[in-house]
Amino acid sequence: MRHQTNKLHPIIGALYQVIKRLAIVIFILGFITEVIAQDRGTKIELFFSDTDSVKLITAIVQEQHPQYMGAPVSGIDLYFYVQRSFSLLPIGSVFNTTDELGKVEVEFPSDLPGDTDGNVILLVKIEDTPPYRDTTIQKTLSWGIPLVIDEQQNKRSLWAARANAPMSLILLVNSILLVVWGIIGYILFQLYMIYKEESASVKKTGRDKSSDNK
Amino acid sequence: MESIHKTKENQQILNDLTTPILKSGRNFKLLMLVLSIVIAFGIFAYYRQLKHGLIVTAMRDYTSWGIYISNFVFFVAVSLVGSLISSILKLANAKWSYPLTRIAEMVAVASIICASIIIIVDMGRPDRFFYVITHARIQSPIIWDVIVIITYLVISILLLLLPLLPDLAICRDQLNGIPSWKKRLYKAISLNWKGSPRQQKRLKKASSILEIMVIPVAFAIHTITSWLFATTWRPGWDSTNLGPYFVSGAFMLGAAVIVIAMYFVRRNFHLQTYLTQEHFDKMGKILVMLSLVYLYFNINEYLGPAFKMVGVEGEHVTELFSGKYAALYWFVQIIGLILPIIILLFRRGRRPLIMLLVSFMVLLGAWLKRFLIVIPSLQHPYLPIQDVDESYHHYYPTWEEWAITFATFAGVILMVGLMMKIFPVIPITESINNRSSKIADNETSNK
Repeated sequence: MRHQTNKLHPIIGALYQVIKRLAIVIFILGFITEVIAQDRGTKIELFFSDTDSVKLITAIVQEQHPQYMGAPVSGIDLYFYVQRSFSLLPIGSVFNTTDELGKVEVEFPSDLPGDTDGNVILLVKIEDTPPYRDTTIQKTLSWGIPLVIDEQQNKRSLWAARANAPMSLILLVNSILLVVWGIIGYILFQLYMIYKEESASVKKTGRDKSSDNK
Repeated sequence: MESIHKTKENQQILNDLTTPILKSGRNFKLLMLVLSIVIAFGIFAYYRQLKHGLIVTAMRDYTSWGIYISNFVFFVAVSLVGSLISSILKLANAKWSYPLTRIAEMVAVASIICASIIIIVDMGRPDRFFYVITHARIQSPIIWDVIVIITYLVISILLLLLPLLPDLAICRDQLNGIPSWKKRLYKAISLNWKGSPRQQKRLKKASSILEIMVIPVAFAIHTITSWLFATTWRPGWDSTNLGPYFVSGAFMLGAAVIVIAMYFVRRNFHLQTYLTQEHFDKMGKILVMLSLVYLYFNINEYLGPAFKMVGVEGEHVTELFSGKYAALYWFVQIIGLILPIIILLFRRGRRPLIMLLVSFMVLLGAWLKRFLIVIPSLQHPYLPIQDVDESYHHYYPTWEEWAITFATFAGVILMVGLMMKIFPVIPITESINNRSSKIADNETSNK
């Protein structure tokens, strides 16, 4: 029995070595595949249509890999965003999957505010979709609602939290302050003169007396 | 300057008016001790407030201004007395009022200092006080108030100092047996006063300008204080009457405070010759006149909202007239205003002791009135918070708030008391000059 066990040992050892090397090869191959697969670029073409106030974005995705150049990429999800001040706002459906022609259509919301000219920045992304590389393209559209800035808040007024005081108030308050503190300054000057004049006369008298003594 | 002290009568005046500086009775020392203890207790309460925050007070989101602000308005009102006596009466050529000027100026300086301190106490983060100046927004009435308080404090100090110069020179030259620090102080702040014609001319010019200038500034300080309320949209404050209402109330309170101060100065320093029954009689007449003016503004303030009784404004007025604050409100109106008017209209009511009691009634009424101006309005916001905490609906000041409030009262009395120990409480030079002019008048009439 013991003899049999000893006989089995070299076989198990060899098997272990084979499995180990195989695992390493699989890992390296997997890694290489992953890297090669990531390299598969795509081209996203965007088309826009505005019919009866329905704004449609059509995206067509094509292969860029030399082997499959120009072939439509079907069955992948595209992500559509609109740039906002602090983050990206998703638009379209939860899943926007390309059809067999690599095409997907998304309706642009009609109530999104844009900048003062109504411009918004659209971003279309392919994210975490092996074997395709992450891709982002962006396009400026004039489909947003033009932003009307309330100028009242930026104008000088008593109530505007963002702006300064009205010039008339600044001038009035500063004039009053100048007059009142000017008068205070004048009174302090008079006090100084009361102090100084008498000190000077005391010194002078003292000096005169001392010179008389001489 | 020196010659006026040579006569026996003038020496008597000098002795009478400098005795309070030279001698301190046991009662005075005891009073100072008690006041110091009250202040120390207030400082301890403030230490607790600094340590734990404003949560130690009863102020919450509704009543965010409690008795600190009531007290602030009260002391600002008291400080107006300086302009009433030192300026308005002086410019009106009311010569009888000269013995009261110094007392009024001392009370004004002490009150405005305490009012400034209370504002800092009311701040949750006093270390950020200077942000009010460095990040000032001139649109805010709070900034106007900060500016005008600082200005009025400087003017009040000048108004005290300027007429003091000749008296300080007398103290410097004539007082013997005083501590050396006091001698040095008199020497420093008498500004080399010798009474030369040039000095007299400059002093007269500066005093005249100051006496005129203090009137608009005094009106401004209390009008702006009233605007802190009037520019905030709350029931009871949304009124164009608030400025004159506050100013008239302040003058009435100031006159009452002067009567109280006069009574104790006269009694404790034995100055019956200088503060006579006639002074009380005349101050009584002034007080009754100011009370009538204040009554008129009171009627203006409450009649309109009470006649309309609309919405939250109506709720506020109802609460004052017959609700939670009715007892306080009617006490203020009857004991603090109507009864003093009735008493003071009679000559007998203008005797010193009765005047003292009446003035205390006015004083108490005035403090409670500031409470009624601040707190009930805050408890009736135009936009109430939903599901508000029960504690927001009422306001009962905590012991810390009371301790600090009493400490400010003690502070004012202590400051006035100490000033009376350093400066002649009744102007010496003016007393001598007044006596001389009386003699001259008598001689002219005899001829």
